[in-house]
Amino acid sequence: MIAHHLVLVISLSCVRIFQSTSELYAILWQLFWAIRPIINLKSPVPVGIVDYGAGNIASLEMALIAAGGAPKLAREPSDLSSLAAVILPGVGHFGPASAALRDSGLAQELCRCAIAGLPLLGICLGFQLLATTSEEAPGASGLGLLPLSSQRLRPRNTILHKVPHLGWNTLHAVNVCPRLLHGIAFEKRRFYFANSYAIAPDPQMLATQATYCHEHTWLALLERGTICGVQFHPEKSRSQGLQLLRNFLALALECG
Amino acid sequence: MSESNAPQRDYQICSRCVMDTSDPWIVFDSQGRCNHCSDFLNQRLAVTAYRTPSNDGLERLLASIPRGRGSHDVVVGVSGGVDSSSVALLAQQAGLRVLAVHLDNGWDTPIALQNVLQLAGLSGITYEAEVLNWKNFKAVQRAFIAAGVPDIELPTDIVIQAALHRAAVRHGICTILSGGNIANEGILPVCWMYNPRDSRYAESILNFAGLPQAFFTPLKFGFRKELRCRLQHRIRTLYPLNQFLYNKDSARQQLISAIGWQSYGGKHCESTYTRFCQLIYQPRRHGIDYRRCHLSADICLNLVTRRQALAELARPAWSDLDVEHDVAFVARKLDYAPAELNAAMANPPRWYVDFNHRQRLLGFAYSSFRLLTGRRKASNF
Amino acid sequence: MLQPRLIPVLLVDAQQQLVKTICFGRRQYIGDPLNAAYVFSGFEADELLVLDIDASTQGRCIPLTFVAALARFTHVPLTVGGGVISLEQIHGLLALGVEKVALSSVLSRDFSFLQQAATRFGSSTISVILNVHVPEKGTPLAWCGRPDISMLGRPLLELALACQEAGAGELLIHAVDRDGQRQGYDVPILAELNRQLAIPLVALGGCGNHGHIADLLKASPLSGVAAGSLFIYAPDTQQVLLHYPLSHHWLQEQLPQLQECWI
Repeated sequence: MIAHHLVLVISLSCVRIFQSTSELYAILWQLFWAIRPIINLKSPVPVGIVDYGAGNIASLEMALIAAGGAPKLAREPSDLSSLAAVILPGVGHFGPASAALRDSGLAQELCRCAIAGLPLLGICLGFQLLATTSEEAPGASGLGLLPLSSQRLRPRNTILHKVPHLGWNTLHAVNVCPRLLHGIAFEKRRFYFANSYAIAPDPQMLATQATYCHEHTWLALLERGTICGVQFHPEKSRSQGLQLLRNFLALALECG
Repeated sequence: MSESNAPQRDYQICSRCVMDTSDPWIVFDSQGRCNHCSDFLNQRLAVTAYRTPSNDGLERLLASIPRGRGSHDVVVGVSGGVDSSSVALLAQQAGLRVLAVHLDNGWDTPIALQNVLQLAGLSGITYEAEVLNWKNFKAVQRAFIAAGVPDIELPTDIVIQAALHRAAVRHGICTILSGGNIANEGILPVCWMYNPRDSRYAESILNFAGLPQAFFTPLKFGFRKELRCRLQHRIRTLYPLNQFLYNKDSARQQLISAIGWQSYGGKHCESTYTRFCQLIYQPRRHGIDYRRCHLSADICLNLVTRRQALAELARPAWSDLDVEHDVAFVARKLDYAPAELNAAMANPPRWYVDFNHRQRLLGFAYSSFRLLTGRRKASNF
Repeated sequence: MLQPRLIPVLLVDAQQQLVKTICFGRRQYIGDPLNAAYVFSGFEADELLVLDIDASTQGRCIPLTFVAALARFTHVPLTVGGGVISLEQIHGLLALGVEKVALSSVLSRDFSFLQQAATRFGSSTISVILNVHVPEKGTPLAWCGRPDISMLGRPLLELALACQEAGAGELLIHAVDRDGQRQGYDVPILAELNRQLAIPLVALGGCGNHGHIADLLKASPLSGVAAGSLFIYAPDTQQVLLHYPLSHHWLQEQLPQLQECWI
């Protein structure tokens, strides 16, 4: 593969420049992940956007095209076939949104595809819908793909911390750097949020997590195998958001 | 549309530079060398430091500018690009009081505006903006596209001159410093960018598009107005960048270190419309590759080899662009559906000779002026 | 933690021209709003607020074709408003790719519309613009829509709390008297309001320089500051020169100091 040859050439020339091999490997690894999306995405990646009446689809479509994807709207379970990945967007209320997913049969099909290994990215309410329950709609249930639940943001200091959590906040990786954040410099790890409900991080869970702070620490990003979720809006988060989408599409290509 | 009056040519490219028959009026000598590079080497360079090198040409020029009168010493049009930014900086560093005028024609890019802001913040520079009425200007730009001529940037050039001279008259300044320079612009076929001073041409284009002259009147700056500015208001335009061995790359470096100037990427231009014109519209409609101009000049100045120039030209001008996005943006701004604009670009090309113009008369006027004053020809007209 | 948002404001008139107003009255022509939006998007503005200031008086909504172009050619979060009176219009605007819809005049006729909109679309998509007038004596008064002398305004705090209760996701507090004056924000009123409310507040009207922003944010950790003149004119001039990065970098530098004031 071109990527491997390129990495080899660069590594050979790097050997003389860098003192320690560990430094070299670290840089090669970063370089590999930075260039990989560019090299791999020669033809647009077919990625589904679940259209169930809740979500800012137009921006997401444009952002995916800019990131090298070929977005297709998925309104029925049959629309989820022959896709390399699927994105579940969402803005609004957990209750009606989860009902819409169930009634259309999309919930069941999404679960089946995700368990079968189709890369899935939940955005904002979509992320919360990947989980089991939400305080916003006590009787309703999410897709149950993640053993987590959402709760209402209830900061004590309401002068400093408002609800909805609206604006640009910084992400902190819990231990390893999530794949979705590869190629995004530390100082650029600020993304656009618009949420009144949040998911608490689960240190016990075997998943790569990144958090944000809004009086308490909340889950901003989660990767569990091919199931990913982000609380923020990458399609509105400038160049770093675009890079995140590219990274997701690269993940999709890898799995395909 | 009737067929154009431009001559039909078999393809030929100059043996010395890279100008070719995308200029239908190009003339080749017995050795296959074109009139453009011959003119450039034999005549155009004569007004620059490339022919008469001197260490103090620039200083003498700047010293010749009257100072101390009125609120400012010079007017400089600033676009955010290398040439105009260099001139503004040179003038400021020479202690001149600069009025930096920016023409907002509705197509500014973020980086260009950042660069203008950096200049506006320098001491000794006063910033002024002239904002065009977008609805009016849009109609004029549409008219030029409908006409099918390559110089769809002509309206902007006309308006810039009008704005600079208006500013000069308003503030009682008698010197305009231009970023124009032979080193980069010395080769430019007349048919690719016709004379902005020829009001008859612009009016003829508007007539063709069925646009009333009222749209053009506030914008125009023709030969007569220019003459009045020169004789009555004693306004003259000087070209500092011709006074030394001006090199765009080193100019860029100087600007970066002096004012944190930002490059928008070599081919991307400081105006979205210029980018569209040079990298998409002209190649598609007229088969013109604007890069041939500066590459040919570079060849003549031994800055690149002909082989290197041909290698660069082998890569399409639009290869770094998101063409669909640019076309969609230009279309939306000019009130076309994207398909309409694409269709307009697929229409047969036309040239300035297909419209009314006063090339001969103005040519005679300029030649007489040069004869009387002893000045050399510094531009195409 | 969340950083205060710096929000350029674009005011668009009936002819879709970009204008700047002074005290809601005199207008200066600024240029093409689509290009301005494109420029601020290129500057990576935190958010953009685009308002059609003639829409409600003319009984129409901000044109969807115009908003579609804004959404198509910008990549930053957008809040749009102007004459929005129905849930279908909000749905249409959100579907185009807008983050938030700003409501104003409609609430003076039917305040319950706010709760309907917030319930249907989620609080985080609904902003409310409160136009504020500060009399020489007495409490500040607020209106939804154009300040109308014939209508008595409600006390600002009362109206703000009512909006919060009804589910507004954000309040844009627009100081009418300070509009275009470049004399600074009304710091005491905004600080007090921010103390009393649990939802995000954005201050709009009066900002002329960075010092004004610093004064406001030192006094209170507002969610955002919106400005027209600051980003449209070259610093300390009345000459059009769109800019943003200068202010953004300045705010980044001030943040550690500001965050200390808040704790």
